[in-house]
Order: sequence, then structure tokens, then C-alpha cells
Amino acid sequence: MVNTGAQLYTMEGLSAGVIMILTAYLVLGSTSVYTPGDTHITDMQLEQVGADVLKIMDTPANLTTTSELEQIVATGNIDGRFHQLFWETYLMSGDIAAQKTTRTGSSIITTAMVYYHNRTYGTVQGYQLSGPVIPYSGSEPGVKVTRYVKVNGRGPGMPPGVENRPQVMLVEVFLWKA
Amino acid sequence: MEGLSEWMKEEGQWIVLMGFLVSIGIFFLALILNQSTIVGQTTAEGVLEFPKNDVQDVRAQILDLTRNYSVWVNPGPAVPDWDAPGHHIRMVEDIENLSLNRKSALVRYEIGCWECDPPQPGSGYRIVKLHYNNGVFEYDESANIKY
Amino acid sequence: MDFLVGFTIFIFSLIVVANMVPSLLVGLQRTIAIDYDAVAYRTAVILVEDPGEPTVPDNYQAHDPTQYRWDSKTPGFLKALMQGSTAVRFGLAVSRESPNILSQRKINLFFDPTFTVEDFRKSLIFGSINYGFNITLTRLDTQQVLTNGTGPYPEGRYGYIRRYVKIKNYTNATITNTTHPEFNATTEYVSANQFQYFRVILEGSGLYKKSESGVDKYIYSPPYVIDPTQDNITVNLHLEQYLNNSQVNGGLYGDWYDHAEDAWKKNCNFDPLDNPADCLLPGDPWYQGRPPNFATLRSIRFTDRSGGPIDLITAGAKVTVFYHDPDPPGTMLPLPDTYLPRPTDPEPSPGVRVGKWLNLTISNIPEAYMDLTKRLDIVYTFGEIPVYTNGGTGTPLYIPRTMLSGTLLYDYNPANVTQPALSSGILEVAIW
Repeated sequence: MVNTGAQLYTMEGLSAGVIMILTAYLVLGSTSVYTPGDTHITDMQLEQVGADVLKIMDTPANLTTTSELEQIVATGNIDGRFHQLFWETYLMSGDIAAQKTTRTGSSIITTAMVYYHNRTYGTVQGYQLSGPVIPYSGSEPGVKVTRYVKVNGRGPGMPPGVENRPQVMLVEVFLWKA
Repeated sequence: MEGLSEWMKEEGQWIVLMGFLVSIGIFFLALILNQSTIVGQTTAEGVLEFPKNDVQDVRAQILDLTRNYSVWVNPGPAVPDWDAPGHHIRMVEDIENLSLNRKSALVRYEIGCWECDPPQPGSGYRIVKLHYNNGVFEYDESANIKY
Repeated sequence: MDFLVGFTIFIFSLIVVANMVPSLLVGLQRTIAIDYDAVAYRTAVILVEDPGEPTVPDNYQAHDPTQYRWDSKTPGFLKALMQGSTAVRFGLAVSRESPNILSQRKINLFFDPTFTVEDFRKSLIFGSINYGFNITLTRLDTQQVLTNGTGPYPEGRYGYIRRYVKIKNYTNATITNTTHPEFNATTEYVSANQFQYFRVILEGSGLYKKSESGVDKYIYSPPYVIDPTQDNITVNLHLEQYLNNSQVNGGLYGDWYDHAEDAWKKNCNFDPLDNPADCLLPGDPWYQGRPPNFATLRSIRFTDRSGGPIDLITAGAKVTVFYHDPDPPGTMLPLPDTYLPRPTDPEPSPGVRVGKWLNLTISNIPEAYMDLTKRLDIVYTFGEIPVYTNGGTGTPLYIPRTMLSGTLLYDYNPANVTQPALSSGILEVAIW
């Protein structure tokens, strides 16, 4: 009863429908939903905060003293002083009624390495200044912030490769959210 | 086939064209969505890429070392020869090596002086040329420092 | 008929697809989004790392009258400047060399209520869109919170950034007898028109340079420099401890006057059996034999290196003096302008009685008066009002009262001056 002449329309309609559904399937399958983390905005804020905290730790209180960060590198990370100072500086915001906190202090983990240049062998090596207070965890990417510090010579806690001369060392702090 | 040859004719193809139109519309919509989600992403990534803290840090350290050319404060008695003028050069070399090795950024530093031994403080100048290049960004500075 | 069938199939599939499309839009608030976080970040960088515009370079060149710092001007001047073609930018950093360290004077000016929302949009946030914003600075030691903005944080989306900063504090010199016994004057004065002077010296070469191992070096650290052209200078004199408690030789006055605090009695023919003393008038606060509790301030003047007078107030500086009224003790009053005379004015007479504390604050010292080669002195002139015997009709007697004289060098000696300290703070910027 179907007229072959009119199968035309059926075919058209069917093929049009198939095309549209196929397109919709393809598009839905390829569009991903972006989470805020994918835009890296929170990474930018975390990096800025980390850089600010390191900068403040590296600011001496007055002209005659050295900064706290330089003291920690020179005398070694006694009693987890680095992480405590970093945390304290970051958590200065304690009672601030911040409307939007990208990270709460308790969930930021830091690990700090110090790199030095050995002139005799022409190498750059590093040692760990402060490890993470809880084991590595979390799935969000971390950011790295660095700061140069001056030391007067070899201090306690430094490995034998560090030469006993005034030199510049690089403190690298890697932070991520647990 | 008769149906196929019928299908090849012009009539009724407007339905297929409508179908194509709708699918193109869907693609277009998906394109807009794709564009809109990256608002904020490229600027945040741009901020992360720009080595602002790095350049500020290197610049501050090198200018500080240049100003304290021959006097280094806070002597440690166990450190030999700390007052020697060569130390600051070695410290700048430290920065150059650390920067190249750890941050893949080239730092070069040149110092010249005009009126190198001024008869009184304040009448001499040091000229510092600083170059920073991390492959994506380049920073050059020429600073005159009163001495 | 077949047309209908075909058309129906097409329409059905169209409906199905149309139902699937809205799920493409899930997770998206608007198709056109403005990146508020980028604007907040840029605003925060300008506030925290930029010294602002107009500004002068930091290497102590000779004063150039065409260059000035934006924070040395008044809000009215800046608003007028914004209408013109000069770039004005609110940057709070002390200098280009010291990012994340903010200047107290710039903070005070930035949070001045005279500026409107439009001023901030034009000179800080930029862009053609009328952003709503909220900029909050919290000082952690005093818990002081300063806010500028169009309102509280909105309900919807907004861009936000937080920066950690240090704030450079002002210095002050507090002079008390316990810390500075050398300022005890040892001369008594006994005749009219004798003045005692106390001088505070702001020496440019001492403030902007320091001597290290015999070599003069510039102090290149703007956060740690005492710079009278950028910071407030405060001098607090604890007069009470000097008044007649000085090291004046007690024996000078004979048996009755063994104690320095009794020195004032010498001129009064004070007879302990004859109370009240000869030179005291009824109603005077020391009528019952108590030592006087005030000094008499005649004027506070400013001079330069050669002793020539400087008209600081007309040049734009702001001088605020507070003193304790001796009776009743405890209230602090502002010093009337007559006691801060211009160079051409005569010495004010009579002076004003000042009690326990005399606190002076100078701000906005113009750059013309303070640089590497210049010196600014603050000269306090103390004089005495005579007291007359015989109930007011007899001979005038000058009771030595202000036992304070000397010269204080306002420099980096922590014994004299509290050094510039850095306090922590948090700056938050929200844009919507």
C-alpha cells in the first residue's frame, strides 16, 4: 500500500532524523562539563597566596636582622619550624570573615626543598628542608613557589655538598590541597 | 533500486535539509559552550605562566648584591674571607646556575661603573644590566645605582 | 500519506533531540561571562605591588618641584587631577622595590571617605564596565578593618583574590626622664625672658645614609628608612618627670631645699613654718606647697640647618600637638595655632601651661625641606611666667620650672626612636 513514489518522503524523514540524533549523540559525548578546577583559577589564587607567604617570610623585621626564612635555612628546620611558620603566616587570617576562601589552612600541605650550587663540581643539588606533615594525598594539582635566600656559610642541617662560603640558595615550596 | 533512484530526485529533500540545519545548529551551540567555559581559564593560565614573582625575586637579590658590593653584613667568625669582594660575584653566579637548572630561566648580569672610586659617597654610579629569559618571557633592565 | 509518515518520523526525532539539547547547557550560568577573577587579580596587583602614580624615583635625587608623590597631596587635589590628563593610580606599595609592603600614609589616603566609587573605577579598576567592588584591608595587630566599595559581597558569582601584606609603621621618639636623663637641665633661671630650648634634629644625611665600617652607604630599603617626607614624625615629651625632678644640685639651695623637687622654693622665700609661701597666690595649684606641675611652653618653631626659620605649615605640612592641661590633669587638649607661630610672628606671650605629656606629630613634610643635604629642626621654647610677691603686687619671681633642655637626634638609634616596624595585614579584593 505504500507507494514507492512516496517512499521518498519516508526516507528523507528517516535520514534527517538519523542525522540529528547522531549529531546530538556526538556533541553530548564530546562536551565535557568544566569543573572550577579545570579553569586553573584556584591554582592561580593558590600560587599567589603561596608566593605572598614566602615573600613575607623572607622580609626581615628591620635593617639589622635577617629574615625568618633565611634563619630557618641557615640553622636548619628545627621542630618543623618551616611548616609552622608557613602555616602561621598563611593562617594569619584566623578570624577574618572572608567571604570566600579558596583553601582552608588545614588542608594545605607543603613540602620544601633547598637547592644549592656547588662551585667545585659545577652542580646544582638539593636537600629537603621540610617534608609534608601528613603523607602525600589529594588529587588536585599543586603549585610551586620559589624564593632565593642568602646564607653566610654552611649551617647545621645542610648536607656535606654545601660549601662554606656566602652563597645564594633557592627554596622551593610545593603546595597542594589534601 | 527504485527507492534509491526516487531518493535521488529533488522532491522532499527539504526534510533532510531541515535535519542538517538542526544538526548544524547543535554544533554551533556546542561551539559557543566550548568558548564560554574557557573564559577565566586563559587569563588564569596566563597569570600562572608569567614569571612575575621570579623576576621580582631575581631583580631584588641581584640589585641588593650589587649595592653591597664590597661589604657583606653580619660576619660569621667561622666563615673565611667573607669580606672579600669576590663573594658577590660568586653569589650572582649561584643565582644564574640555580635559575638555569631549576627554573629553566636564563639570568645574565653585567656590571659597569662610572666613577668607580668616588671621592665621596654619592658621586659615583654603578650600572647594572640584568637579563632574564625563560623561553617565553624576556626581561631586560638597566639600572643606575648611586654609590 | 507517505509524506505524513516521513514528516512524522522527522518531527519525532526533532523532539527527541530538542529534549537532549538543554543538557548541553547544564553547568553554565550564562553564555557570556566576564572574568571577574582576572579583574580582581589585576586590582590587587596594582594595590599591593605598585607605588602608584604620580610618584618619584627612590634614589634620593635633588628635589624636582615638578615631581611629587600622589600621597603627599590632599584628596581634593587628586580628584581635580583625575579630571585632567595626568595619570592617577592608587598604588599602596612603599616603593617599586618593595612589593607587598604598604605605606601607612597611602593607606590613610586611599580609605579617605572623600573619594567616590567613580574615582576608584577610574584610577584603580579601569575598564568600561561599571564593576561593583569591595576592597578590605585588615590589620592583624590592631584588628582594624578598612573597607572601600560599592557594598557587601553579592549573592551570585564574583571574582576574589587575597593578598598578604606588611604595613610600614610610623616612628616616634618618646622622651622620659628614665630613658633620657641627659636632658635634665641644670641651670635655673632667675630673670625675665630667659628661655630654655629643646631641639629635635632631623638630619637628612643621617636618615638617608648610614655609616658602615667607616663608609657612608645609602639606605636603599624604603621599608626601613625613616623618611620624614613620607612618614609621620612623632615626638612625645614626658614633661612631668622633668619638672623639678632634675639633677639640680640639691645642696645649691641650702638646707630647706635638699631635694631637687624643692628647688622651686628657693625663689619663693619659702618658710615651711609660714604656709602659704610668699610668692604664691591663693588659687595657684601649688599653694599648699606642692611643686608646680607644669611647664610653660612659649612656641614650637621649625628651623633649617643654619638656624633660619621655616614656615612648614604654609608649605603644606600638618602639625598636630596635644598637651595635658595641668589642672585638671588627665585631659589632653590640642595646642592652639598661636603657639605654632610663623617665622615672622613674635614670640607668643604669655605661654601656655602644659602638664604631663606634650605630643607632637608632623606629617606631609614637603620634599623641599628634607632631603639628603637638608636638616629640619623642631625647636621647643619654654619660658616662665613670673609670679608676683605680695599677693600680686610685689616683685616678679621666676620659679625654675621647665628643667628640660638639650638636643635629640632623630635617627636610627633605638634608644632615641622606635624603629620602623612592619605589621602584618591582609588585603582582599572582590569584583562583581
